[in-house]
Amino acid sequence: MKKLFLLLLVPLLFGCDIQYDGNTKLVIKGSVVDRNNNPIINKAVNLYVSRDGGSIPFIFYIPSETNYIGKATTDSNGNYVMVIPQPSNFSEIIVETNDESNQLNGKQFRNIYLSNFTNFQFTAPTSNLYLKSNLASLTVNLNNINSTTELLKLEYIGNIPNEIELINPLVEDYPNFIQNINVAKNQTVILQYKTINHSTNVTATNQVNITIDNSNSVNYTLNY
Amino acid sequence: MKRIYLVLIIVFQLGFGQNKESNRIEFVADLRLAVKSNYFFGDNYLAKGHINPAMGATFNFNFIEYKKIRLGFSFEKSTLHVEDYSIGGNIDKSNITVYNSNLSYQIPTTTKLSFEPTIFYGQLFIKQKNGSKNYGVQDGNDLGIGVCIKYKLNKSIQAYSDVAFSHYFLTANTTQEFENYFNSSNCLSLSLGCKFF
Repeated sequence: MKKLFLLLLVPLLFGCDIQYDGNTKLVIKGSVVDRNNNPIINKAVNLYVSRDGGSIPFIFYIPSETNYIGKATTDSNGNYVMVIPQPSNFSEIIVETNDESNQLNGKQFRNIYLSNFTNFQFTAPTSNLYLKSNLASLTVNLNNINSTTELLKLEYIGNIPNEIELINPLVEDYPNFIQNINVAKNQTVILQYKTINHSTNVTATNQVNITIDNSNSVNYTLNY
Repeated sequence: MKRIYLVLIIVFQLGFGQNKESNRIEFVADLRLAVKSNYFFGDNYLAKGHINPAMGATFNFNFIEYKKIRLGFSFEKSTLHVEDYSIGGNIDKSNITVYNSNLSYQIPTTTKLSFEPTIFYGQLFIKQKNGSKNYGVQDGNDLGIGVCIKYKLNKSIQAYSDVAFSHYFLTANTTQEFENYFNSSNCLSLSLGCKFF
């Protein structure tokens, strides 16, 4: 019985790793620019293939796994190209631009799946990197003044670095409001929010303007 | 199993007795071991994405001879270290395994020196690894020609050097832009080793 159990366990354990098809090569392209759309040259771009952990109760725990499988640097036009073997049994592909000098903000494109590749190629959106000294931290405090109103969605429109950009949206059972983000200084950010009034069952989308000056942090209270 | 061994021993014993050229198919036991250096060239991943040459070892066994033409097979393993991490992946090394069948023609020049032109065809596997993590296997076929120069040291051992050219036909599913870069390669190889029996 023990042998049978072990025999059943071995293929399960080996089947948990992220696998790669060496015959299939995926191409990832993109570009890195600054706030004024000037190309940033010689910038390192990394690619990770990640798999979430999990468990089969009372049998075993599958740890998460992240493979640093792609790396490239931008050329004189700020463009980069990466070619990687095709992974399988994974959760997401992450393309990351980080700044070693710590002067610019980082950028990640997450939740990239094989379905985002067309003819073995995925073109990532342009990575806009901002000087950290030109960024302010915007904090939005939520203040529910009407008990029958529920907030459904918060969205920021303006010159925003969006340090984590999801290529495919997360599937969540509850809304996740981002209340603290970095935004460029000296601009007006539009805060768009969606509410529902449970007594009337009417949804409404509203906008408010938030002025971002030259200070490093801005607080705003949203009454809804 | 014992019977198979017995048959093989009888076959090889009969083979060693056939020194004269004959029109019959003869069984021989021509075993070779060598260190091998592979230099990949051209506009392809093995040539441009790796530090050349690759170093490895090869094992060759010829077992049938007919009118100085010998048929055999070989097994080869070599390793290339990755140089270009952007095109191909952040991978440490490519381990190449080649299984070939070969036909060679024996041309004796002196009592000690002989030449042996060879053609070979086989299957190959390129396993990409980073540490212990496996990043996939690319497969394909190779076709090549070569010449082997043998020098007789004593009754049972010959030193030999083998120079060969081969073309790799690899499976590659990718964009048109990179298809030719990944689906072929050219290899110039040099082996130094010993031939036994």
